This record gives sequence, structure tokens and C-alpha cells, in this order.
Amino acid sequence: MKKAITILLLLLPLCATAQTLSGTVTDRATGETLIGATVLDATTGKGTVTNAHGRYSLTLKGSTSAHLRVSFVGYKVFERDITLDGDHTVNAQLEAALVLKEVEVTADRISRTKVSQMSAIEVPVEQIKLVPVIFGETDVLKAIQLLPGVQSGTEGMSGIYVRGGGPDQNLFLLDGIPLYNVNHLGGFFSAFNGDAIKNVTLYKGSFPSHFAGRISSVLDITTNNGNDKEWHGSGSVGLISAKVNVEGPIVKEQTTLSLSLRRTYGDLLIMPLVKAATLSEGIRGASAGYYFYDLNGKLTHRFSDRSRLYATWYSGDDAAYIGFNETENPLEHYGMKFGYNWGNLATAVRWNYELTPKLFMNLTGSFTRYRQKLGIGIEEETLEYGTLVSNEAELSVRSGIADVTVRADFDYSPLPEHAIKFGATAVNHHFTPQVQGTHITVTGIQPVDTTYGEQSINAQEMNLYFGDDWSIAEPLKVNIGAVLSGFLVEGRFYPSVQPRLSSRLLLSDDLSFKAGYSYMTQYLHLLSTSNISLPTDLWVPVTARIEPMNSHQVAAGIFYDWRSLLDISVEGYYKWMNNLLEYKPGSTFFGSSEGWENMVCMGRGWAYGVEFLVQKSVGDITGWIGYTWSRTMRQFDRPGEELNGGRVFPAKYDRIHDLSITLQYKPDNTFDAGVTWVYSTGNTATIAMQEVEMDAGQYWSEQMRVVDERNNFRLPAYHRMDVSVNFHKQKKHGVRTWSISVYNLYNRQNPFIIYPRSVQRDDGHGTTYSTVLMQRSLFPIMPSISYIYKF
Amino acid sequence: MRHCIFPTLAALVMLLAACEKQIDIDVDARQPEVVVRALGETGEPLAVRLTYSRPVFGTFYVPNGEGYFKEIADATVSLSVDGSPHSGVNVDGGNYTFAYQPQAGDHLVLSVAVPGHKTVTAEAVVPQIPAVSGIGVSHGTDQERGIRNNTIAFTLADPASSTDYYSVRLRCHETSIYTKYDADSNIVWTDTTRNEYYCDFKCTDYTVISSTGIDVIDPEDPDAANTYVGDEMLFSDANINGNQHQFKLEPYGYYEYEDYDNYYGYDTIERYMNSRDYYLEVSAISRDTYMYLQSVDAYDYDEVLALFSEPVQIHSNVSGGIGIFGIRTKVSFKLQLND
Repeated sequence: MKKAITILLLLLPLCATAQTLSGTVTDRATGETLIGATVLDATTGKGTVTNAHGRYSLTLKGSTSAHLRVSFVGYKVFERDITLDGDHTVNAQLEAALVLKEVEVTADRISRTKVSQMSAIEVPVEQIKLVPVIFGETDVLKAIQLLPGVQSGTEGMSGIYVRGGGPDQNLFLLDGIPLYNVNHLGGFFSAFNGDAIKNVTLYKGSFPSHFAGRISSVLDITTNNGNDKEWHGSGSVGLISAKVNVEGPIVKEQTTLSLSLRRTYGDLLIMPLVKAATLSEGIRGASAGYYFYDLNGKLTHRFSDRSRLYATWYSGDDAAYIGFNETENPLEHYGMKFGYNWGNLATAVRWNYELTPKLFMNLTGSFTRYRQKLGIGIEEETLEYGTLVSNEAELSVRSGIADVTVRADFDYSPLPEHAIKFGATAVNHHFTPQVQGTHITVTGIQPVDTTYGEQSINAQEMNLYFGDDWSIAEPLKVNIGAVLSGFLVEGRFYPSVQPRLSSRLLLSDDLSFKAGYSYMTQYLHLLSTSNISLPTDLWVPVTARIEPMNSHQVAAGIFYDWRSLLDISVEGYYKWMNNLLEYKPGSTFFGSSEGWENMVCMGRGWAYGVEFLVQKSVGDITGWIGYTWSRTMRQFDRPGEELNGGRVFPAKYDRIHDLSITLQYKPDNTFDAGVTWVYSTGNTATIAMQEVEMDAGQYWSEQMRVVDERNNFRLPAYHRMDVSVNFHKQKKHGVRTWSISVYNLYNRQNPFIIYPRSVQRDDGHGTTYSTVLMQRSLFPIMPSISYIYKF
Repeated sequence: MRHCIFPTLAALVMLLAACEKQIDIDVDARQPEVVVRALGETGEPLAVRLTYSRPVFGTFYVPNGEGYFKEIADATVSLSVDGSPHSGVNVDGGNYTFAYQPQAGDHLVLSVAVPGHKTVTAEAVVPQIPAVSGIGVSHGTDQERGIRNNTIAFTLADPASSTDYYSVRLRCHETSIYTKYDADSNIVWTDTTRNEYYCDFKCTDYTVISSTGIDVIDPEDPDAANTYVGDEMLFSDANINGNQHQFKLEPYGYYEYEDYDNYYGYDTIERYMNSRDYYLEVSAISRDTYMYLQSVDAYDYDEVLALFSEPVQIHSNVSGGIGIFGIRTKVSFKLQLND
């Protein structure tokens, strides 16, 4: 402690001779803060980028003047000369460039080559919106799946598998709030409405110290603040959903509101069909359907240039239901209803305050909840010996997780060479295992009204972090930090010290070498029954027996910035993962956390690979080409918890080759088009190849299918091409867009599930047995069209 | 427009119908393999059963009168015990029985030569006799005639020097006497049958069941978390290594006898009377046997919910083929479940 104080005292004089430029970078037309904008002093060449709140702090030393240049892709450069006679606040309002000339918008940008952070990719939201997707639904996760090092799960699913990690090892942050279930409709759509999103950054390794809690990736998503000048909006109608987005000032340039709503409407369309089909059978009041919706809201209030308040709201739910009433005669009827609801609620209040030009503070209080509820009810009224008898029975099952979080983050730039981040987080996790409610009323019998399993588990998680983005010398920069973490559950405390390091050595002005290391710990596990995302998936904490997952990851790579137009990188990584969970063979799980510890086994895994990325973010043609060569292995050899006899086996999503090409073409504001082609080695699967006599004591008549090795079969390669075109036209009150997309253009039949099909034929003298392996594809060529109107 | 509808619909139907197709399987996976099943017990002649496996994928013909699995009757089966060959095998179809009776500590090597296949080998060491003591029965109260919540206790002393695996079973010898009296003919029929089986019991001792691995949850009773229910409890010494541990088991069902009468009108009476003797069997087993039995146990369960669970791998310790070679070193105790 004494040493730290001494160092701070030594630093103070240095600070006194330095001047700091700070401020916010915004879009001039909308007032929207710009994340990742480059702020550069052209005189000294020193620069920085804006943080997640659009703020920057640039400390300069030994200069009397500065020539500030602020740039951002798609905007004209903002320039200002400043006399450095003290600290200055310079808020830059950038004007969108109508005609983008690549040189103008890229001359000053701090490319991926120059930053010390590695294994992170920022995908412009405009590019995400141009990626062709199924049913025309813009989907952040589907776009993220196209990046190197990221693999998709099963066909059409939104789950992501990053550098050999599982789907539960990704931290999804929406304005800093973790979301536990980011899927709709079993994973075919993600919970992120593209219209509400401003910025998306994926971290695959070398994690900055302000992230903690998952061992494989962090997807940091920031939503729009809203236009602070005037009201705007958009509406769209697609094949399966409709969306509305409005944003504008409640108090001009002071308080803004942004609201986005998306809802599927398939249930509304099929409702008349269901009623018509069932009414003829004497069934009234029939209903059946499924829908999901997302509601994103954000209220922003600017107290001053130094102080802003944000209130964020997200709620998204899925609902599946079916029910009917069947009438025998005017007195008797029978009714049934079934409902299944699941979804997230996340809300946060954040306060930004610039304590000094060098010290920026962000305080957050948030609440996030995922819950599922299943309800089944029957009721009947019948005449028995002239007496009307009423019976009712209801069964409900619910479970979930809810977090309350308080968090303080600080950005501190005491010297030109240091950009320090530090902070603390405290989380209270409230786990609700399966709670069953039973309500039975039967004429003549004592009613039952009982609830089982209502005990819940509370756990506390604490994190302290510190990180310094330190320019040691002109070519050498390191981002060094650590997270001190602890998790308290049922009287047991799990501490963890997680060092983080990312370094950059500038070999020339456009070429750099980077290396990094990170250690991550995860205190939560996802109990999941199958390989697709089901709403029954349930989060549970670590226990006395089930230890926290952790990972060590090293990565190194070469980064090249070609003429400020192309970011080219080659990254290699090796990741060790410990205390991974897998279900024991034959074990199943259906939304109950009771006894789950005995159904799982713990083991380890490792993944290694090389990722190539060529990314072009500016110009008429944008996009990226990503290729990954990787292997992902698992070993479960603890006594009593062996899988595959304790031998090493490839993970389910061990895909050796993974290639994606994503291109967008936008020559002007009336037309744009996108094309995506993906290719990957097929998933692995466990297939029994032999049948043997079953060991059933003294009985020998049964047969048993034998698997020699886990994940012993490689499915056919996966590949697919999607295209989309958008036609925009300026109308009297806004811009209308017709969006046409085709998923799986050449109708490739990619495997969704595989299964054996057996045929048995008896000819009187004997029996012919024949079995073949079949695959079923989910999506053939799928054209879609949607209409969008922006005003 | 009308001219477009039917071609479009036809094309759509063809596309959807084409969503299913056959996947090619490696030809090597279509060859039958030699299957060895040799799970013996100390004090009993060692029996080896040999059959061919059936490749899952492919087409084959089974004439009437032949079994689905073909027995291997032309194999040369040899056994060596502690390095010395053991002769004297009796062959009956695919069943090969040695006069040799395994003894604790024996090191066995089994070799099977089948024409047209590479030689199949397997090794096993007969485990040491488990140190079981303090067998006792705590008699519960009668719930109804013949049903009572008894508790069986025994103490197992686990050696510290090795990782050991155990099996606990409850064997039931049942004698059923069936009597029928027909008043019209004044005839009484009596038939006696004897049956042996392993009966279900439960164990709630978390120290033990946390190392049982599989099937510790009663699927029909979600409240019974951390409860083993089944007819063979397999566990490792992970939690009791080098220590003595007292086990408590609760058998299910009738503990002594049951009898009941059926009346058909006034002239015919059927009477069933079943009496039972119980034996506690504690066996020391090898790791391979433990994993094999575990996987077979899990396979039964997988049949029901296979769609939602990972496929079960049947453990094999047979080189060049499929199967199990292992010996149970068993100690057995007759139990007095009635007062």
C-alpha cells in the first residue's frame, strides 16, 4: 500500500505538466454518441478512441498547442486547433458524409494494427444489417457466427461457440447488463433487435480486465441513445415479424427516448385457421400459437457536458400455448389449456460523470432476470346420475435466475502513456430451481393446493479489477491488468485471481505483432438437455462438489493495415479449459435442478487454432473474409466420471475448417446488396456402428447398439450461400425500403439431425434387415421479403 | 398468375420432400466383429460366450431358425492363469466353459482366435475379497401384511493402497406355491415354482451414491434427489478410500411372504403364496467391469429418452473385438428380514 501511494505521489508532478483534452463525440444530426471514434492530435501523433459512452480523454505532455482531428467511419473529419494552456473540453459533433471517399474517412483512424487489444472484433451495425439472414430478420448473433474463431451450432441456430468453448461460456452484455437466454424460438432468432443496436464488439481472448464471469467470449452490445434533435422512426413488416422503432427528444438536446418493439405475428395469422378447423368438431374456444417479442427502451438525460444519466430497459418473451373447450351438451364440457412462457427482463440505470478531465466515472445499478413457466390445466363439468360434477386440475412448473448488480467503473488518463481502467462489481444471484405447483379440485374429494421445491439459492459474486493500457515506448504497448474475484454460495467461498495481458509491438506504421494471455473463471453452469437451445435450459451455481470453470488462453498474431482500407490479421491461440461439465451418458434433464450434480461429470478441454481475417469497413464494397483452422478436444477421466472410457475425444463442434465470406455492396443510397458464403467441416456425432447381444442377466434375446468412440462420425460438410438486395427510395415523409433476401441460395441440404432408418422384410423363409443413416435438413432455399419505412 | 401457382407449389413440395437424404457410411463399419462376454464370479466355472456383432448399417438376411446374432462355435479359446495355460474347455455353440474357477488375485489372459478375424485378447485380475462385516437388519414397522420398511446395514473396509470398485446387490430366492380348488369337481391343484432375481433397494447415503455415477435419481420420484434406486449399486471408493464405511439399504416390496386368494363365484378358489429368502451380495469388481456394468445400466435408461441424452458407450476391455472380461469377487450373506 505504501508503495502504491509513493508511486501516485511521484506521478502527480508529471500530471501537473500535462494538459488533457476531453469531451464527447457525437453525430451532429442525431446527437448519438459515437463509440470507437478516433481522436488524434495531429501535432504529436498521440491519439485515443472514444469509450462505450462516446467519451474520450487525451492527455498531452510538453506541447503548447494541439491540432485535434476526430474521425469515424462514414463521417467527415472534425478538426480544431487548440492552445494548450490548460485542460480543455472539446465536444466533437461529426457530420455524416454523403459521399464516402475512402481516403477522407480513413486517414486518421486508429486501426486494429495499432491498438494493444487483440482477439477482439468490432462489426459495424450497418454491416450487420446488410448480412443476409433467414426470414430477413437482422440478427447480430448470426453475423457474429461469420467471424473467424466463432462457430455456429446446429443449422439455423443463434448459439455461438467461441474458440472451442461451449454456448454457456459466452457473456452477452446489453448496455452492460448480462442476458442469460439470448434466443427466441429454440435459438432460431436471437434476442437482439438490430434496429435498437448501435455497436457490437466481440472479445474472443485477451479479455480486458473490466470483463469477467465467462471463460470463452464477451459480446458487448450497446443500444441507441436516440436522436436528441428531432423525432424519427421506422416500421417494417417481414415474413414472420413486424418492427417499430421511434426515437427523439423529450427535451431537445437534453432528454431523449429510444423505443424499439419487435413481435412475431404467426399466431395471429393461424388463429382463424385453428378456430375454423376445430369449430366443425364441436370444439369451441380453441387456440394455439407461438409468438415472441422484444421491447428495447432507453432514456437518456444530459445534465451537462460532464454528466449523463441512462435508463435502459429490455424485455423479451416467448410464449407457446394451446387450449380448447369441448362441449358435449349445454351442461357438460371439457377444457384443456397449456402454456409455456420464457424470457428475459433486464433493466439498468447508469450515471456517467466526468470527475476531472482525466477521470471519468460510470456507476451502474442493474437487474436482470430469466425465467420460464409451464402451466397445464384441465377442467370438466359432467353430469353423473343427474348431478353436475366439476373437476379442475392445474400443474405449474417455474424456474429461473435473477441478478441484482451494482457496479462502478472508472477511466483514468493521468499521463499520455497510460489509460487506466479500474472498478468494482457486486452481484447477488438468486437461483430458483424447479418450483412445482399443483391445484386439484375434484367433487367429493379433499382439494389439493400444494407447492413443491420453493427453496431458492442466493449467491454473491464480487469483482475488483484494474487495467492499464500502457505505451511503454513508441512501438511497444501493453494492456496489463487483473481481476480479483470471489463467489460465495451456501457458505463456501471461491476466490480467484485472474491476470490479463495484451501487448502490441509495432513493427512498422502499418504492421504489428501482438501477444496476449488471459485467465478467466466462471461460477455458473448451464444445465441443458440437448444440443439446441431449449427454454428448459437452466442456470445453476457452482457447489461444494462442482467447482468453477476456468480457462487459460494464450494468443499471438500479426496485424497489418493495408492502406487504411483493409485490416488483415493472422492469430493463433491455445486455450485450456478446466472443470467443464457434460451430462453422463444416458442422463437427461428437463428443467429441474434437483439432483443435477449426480447427472454430470467434470473434465477438461483444450482448443487451438489459427484464424485469418481480412476486413474492409469502408468504401462501396465492405465485408470480411474469415478462415479458421482449429481443433477442440475434451477429456473426462475422473474416476466414476469417465466419458469415452477416459480417452480424449473431439468436441461436438470440433470443426477443422471454417470459412466465411461476407460482402456488401452499397454504391449509393438507393441500392445495396449483400452476399454471404460459409463453409465448414461437418459437426461430429456419436453413432453406433455395431449391434451386440444385450447383457441382461440370463436373457440373451435383446440387442444393444455399441458406440466405439464418442463423436466418432463426421457429418457432411456444411456450406451455404445467402444473398440480399435492398431498394431504397426517398418518399415525401421518409425513405421506404424493399428488402429481398434468399437464404441457402443453391438449396444445399445441410444436416440438421441424423438418424438410422431400419426396414425389416419377412419372405416366409427368413427376414431381411436393412438399416441406413439418414439426414434431415431444416432449411431449403428460403426467399423472404420485407418492407421498411423510415421517417 | 394462375399458370405460375401450380409449378411454384410443385417446386416447393419437391424442395421440402428433398430435405431428407441418405448419408454414406464407411465400408469398414459394415464388417461384423467378434463379441466376447465373460463376466464370471469367484467360485464358479468361468464361462465365455462368443457371438458375431451385427453392423448397424447395411443389409443382411437371417433365415428362420437362426438367431439374430450368430454364435461363434469354431473359435479357439485359450485361458492362461498367472502365466500358465489352462486347458479343459467345454464348447456348446457359442458358449465356452472352463473348469477353472477364478480365485482372488489370479491374473487371467483370455485369447480368442476366430477364423477370418484377428485374434481377440483380454486381461483381468481377479479382485481381492471385499472385507464386509457387521451385517444386520433393522426391522421397521409393518405397513401392511408382508410389507415392512426394513433397513439392511453392513460395513465395508476399503483398502487404502488402490482404487477399488464395488457392486452391491440383494438376491431374492422366491418360492411360489399355487393352489386351486374347484368345488364342483372337488379337485385341488398345487404347483410350486422357484425363482431367483435381484430385487430393488434404495440407498440415500450421499457419501456412497455420489460415486455411483449413473442412475442415482428415481425418475418417478423427483423429490427423491440424491437417492439410489435400483437392483445393483455400483460405486468407487472415491469417498471412502482406506476407511471403513457403514452402508444402509432399504429393500423394496415384500420382505417375507405374501399370500392372497382369488374367489370366482362360490366354487373356485385360487391361492398364491410366495415366500422369499434374501441374500446380500457384495462384490469387488475391476474398473473395467464397473464401467461396463455402469454403461449397460445407463443404456437401459437411454432407450426411453434417447432423443434428449448423449448416446451411451458400452465399455469394452477386449482388444480386437467388443465385450467384457471381468470377474466379481463376491461375498454373500443370508439375511433375516422377518422378526
